[in-house]
Amino acid sequence: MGTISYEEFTGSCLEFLKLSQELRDGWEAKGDALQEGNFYLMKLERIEDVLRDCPPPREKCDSDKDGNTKDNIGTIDIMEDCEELCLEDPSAIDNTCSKTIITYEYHITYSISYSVPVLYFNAYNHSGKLLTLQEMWRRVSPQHSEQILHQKWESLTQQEHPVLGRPFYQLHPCNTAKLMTEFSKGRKDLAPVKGLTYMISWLSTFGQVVGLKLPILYFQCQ
Amino acid sequence: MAEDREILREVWDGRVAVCVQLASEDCNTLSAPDPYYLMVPRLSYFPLVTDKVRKHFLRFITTELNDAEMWLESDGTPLKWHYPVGVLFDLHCGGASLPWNLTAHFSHFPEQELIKCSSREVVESHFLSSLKEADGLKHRGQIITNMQSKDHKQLWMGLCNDKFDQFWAINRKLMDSTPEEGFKHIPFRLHLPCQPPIQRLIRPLTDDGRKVTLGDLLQEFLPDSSNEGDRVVIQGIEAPRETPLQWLSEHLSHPDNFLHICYIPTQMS
Repeated sequence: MGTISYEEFTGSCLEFLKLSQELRDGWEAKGDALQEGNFYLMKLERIEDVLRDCPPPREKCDSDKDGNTKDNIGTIDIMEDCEELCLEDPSAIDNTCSKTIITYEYHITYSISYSVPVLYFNAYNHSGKLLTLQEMWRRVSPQHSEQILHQKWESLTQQEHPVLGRPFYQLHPCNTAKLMTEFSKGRKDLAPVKGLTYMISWLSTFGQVVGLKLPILYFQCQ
Repeated sequence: MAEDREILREVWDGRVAVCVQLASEDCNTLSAPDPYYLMVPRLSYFPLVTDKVRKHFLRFITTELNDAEMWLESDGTPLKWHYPVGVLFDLHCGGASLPWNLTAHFSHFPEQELIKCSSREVVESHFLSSLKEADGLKHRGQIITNMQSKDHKQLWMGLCNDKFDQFWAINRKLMDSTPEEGFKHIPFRLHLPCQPPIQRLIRPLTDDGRKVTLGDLLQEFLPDSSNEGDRVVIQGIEAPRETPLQWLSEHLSHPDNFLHICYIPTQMS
């Protein structure tokens, strides 16, 4: 109950992807759907940071002083955005108060162990630096923060991405099946939630914890 | 309940010989520090056993790096601390030459490759989440969910403090199964050099009641690769391919309750 097979997962993802393309919502498919454990969806999104604790953009426009190797996804773009904020923001009264852009990279993969989708994500600040775990916890949406932060070590931590093998933040999937069963109870026919409905219900629930919004049109197009 | 208790104890006591040197770019003194030698438990995780290594190198690095996270590297490859020590050893060193030579770094943390480990809580959370996942595969999570958090704590403390009896008092419940059926699925990770580990579903028994073996697993998940001289290493030993997975899972798993299998292709041995 509340679980899906890998085939159901890839099928639902492909349906979801079609909808995303119609709505221009930016999701992409990665890997081979036919190869078990290889397939996932990805989306990049630039979001205005909900917190104002980032240092003034002007200082941080230099290249990363620590000499960390740059992520090869969009770091140059992030730097360019940063320069725009620094130089061309006429509406900014005070640079230290201006909001910064966080680049989120969301991945939807399948958990073999729990038979449910899992949300992995990374977030980079304007200099391309990965946000820390503490910074991620602080950015959990207010309506979920109490629940998540009450057991933060069991809810949101860094894990190894199952396909890419590198660090990503993850919302732990251990309660997903139980949650998805609750969705079924909400239906008149009590039939288990499947397919595209499953994906949309799942993503709208987990995504909003970490700033991922699903346009309302997803729900209307089912 | 596992019958071969002696094997459990031998596995628990497994150690690897390690020699750690300070990365030259982090050394701030004219003379380099002596390398630090230690025997590390196979079943533990590096952040739990390297406090003394850190202390040893602390006075040789700049004060700016005093609070920096130490990370280890083996022959140019950053070591994923969230893998058990023994797995890392079998993958990277394999006992070709002992001790295993590592380099300790305090700067340029490779955040693209390594999970951050700022405190023991990170290790604990990782360990517990692996336990939950393994029990999810073995028993639909029913055993671990019904445990009290003090039991989880006991597993963790048993691992940290190298207390076999303390650990197995609780772990035996996670290893529980009927002889006829075994676990629902066998929690395993198949490690190959330079790629993410393979994790799939596999049952301990076929539909006609035959015991699934290590060889069956390799045949199913690595069908294309099988060369003479490829080594399949579990807990530092080459297990016979006809060994039943259920038995391996009960006796040669790591404390995280996963069976970590290292597949070393022949050209890299």
